[in-house]
Amino acid sequence: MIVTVQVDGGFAFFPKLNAAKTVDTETLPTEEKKRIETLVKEARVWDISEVLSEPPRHPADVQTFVVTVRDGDRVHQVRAAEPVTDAALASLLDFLLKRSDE
Amino acid sequence: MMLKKVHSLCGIIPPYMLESISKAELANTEGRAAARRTLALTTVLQTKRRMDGARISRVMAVKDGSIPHKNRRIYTCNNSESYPGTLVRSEESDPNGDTAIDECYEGFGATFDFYKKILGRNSLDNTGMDLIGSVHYGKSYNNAFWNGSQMIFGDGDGIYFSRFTQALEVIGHELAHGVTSYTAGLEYQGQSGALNESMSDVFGSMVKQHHLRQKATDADWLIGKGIFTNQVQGVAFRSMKAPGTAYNDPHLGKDPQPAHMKEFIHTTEDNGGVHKNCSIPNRAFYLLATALGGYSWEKAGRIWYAVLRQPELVKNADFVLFAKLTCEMALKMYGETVRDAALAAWKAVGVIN
Repeated sequence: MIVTVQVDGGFAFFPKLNAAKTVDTETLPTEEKKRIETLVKEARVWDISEVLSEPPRHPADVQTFVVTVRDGDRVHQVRAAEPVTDAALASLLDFLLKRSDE
Repeated sequence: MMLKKVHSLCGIIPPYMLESISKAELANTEGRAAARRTLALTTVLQTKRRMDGARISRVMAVKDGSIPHKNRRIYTCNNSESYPGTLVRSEESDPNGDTAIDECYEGFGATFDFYKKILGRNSLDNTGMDLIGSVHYGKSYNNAFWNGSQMIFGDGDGIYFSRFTQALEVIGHELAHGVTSYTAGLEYQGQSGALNESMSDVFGSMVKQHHLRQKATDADWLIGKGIFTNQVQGVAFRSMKAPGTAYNDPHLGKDPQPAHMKEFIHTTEDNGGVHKNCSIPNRAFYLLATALGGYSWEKAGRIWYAVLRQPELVKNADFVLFAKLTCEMALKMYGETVRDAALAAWKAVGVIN
């Protein structure tokens, strides 16, 4: 499974912070691989709408998170503006973003 | 029938002052109109007060919203992602002791005062809108944003970013998004989105310069100064004076902002590069303000504000239209010399050939 996360928008644009971060779970240690796959499953990424939430009217500097999951031939993308109210998706985002910071 | 005795409640601004504002050449159209409305309302109310008592007058004045009044409400999200959160400081209350809460309160005050004293504007919507801010949003949250009705500020991760409330121009920037949404309503996409961002940088920077009583040539023209921790190789998020030079850091990358139209960034990211290309009109404003000398808000700021309220500034305006309108407004307000300076600024950034 290949998972990509990208943060779009925000008060300022920082090339490295705003770049897409990709992880191929097949290249990860077993524990981390399972963790990501479980978070993807719990977030029901394959089932939820492609646009989960749009920024509010007249927004500015609002961040939007884009998660793309590929598994074989299946690909699905989810967009969610902050605040991400779906707790499971928020957990997945939190894990992926913290991981990419390390 | 005996009338019940009521307590007298006086207006904040005396009628002679309202009359003066309503006729003043220096006051803008909205300011004069607001003063006239308030004066008319005051006259009506004085009569009504005699008849019905003062209590009614206060209710009507507050409802009309035309009398400038500062009403700040600061909340804490307690590091949750739910806002507005818990109310922790309201107008005229004592300092809270929490740095972010007090910075937000004071920053809102400095911004309100700038719009009121310099531009004759009564809060973001010009009818006395309450200023609402939520601090301590999220955990290690590296952002600040305007959600269409209030401001939200993060504490930063403490590694690369610290509190977003500590830069007054950032507070002024977020509140300016409110002003833009109540005036031109510039669409947050492409060049109109970059103009929207630039308006926030321009007014955010002027709020800071006004607070510090800095002349244009003495200002740093930086946006987000002091928010980076000492781990970051950079001075701020953006430089209006020298776009592309604010930071160059292994973790964040290099400041991508262009200083000239020939470097304009075409992208689908970031709503079409609104935080990248805003540097072009930003620099034009800096060039004009420093060329004119004195305080940036004396002429350059008033020109920008007048254009922001012009119906000709359509929601999907591009840089060329905005440049043209500012040059026309410069001529109308201050004559040929200032118009020529505006033209030179836009030529220097390549928007006008």
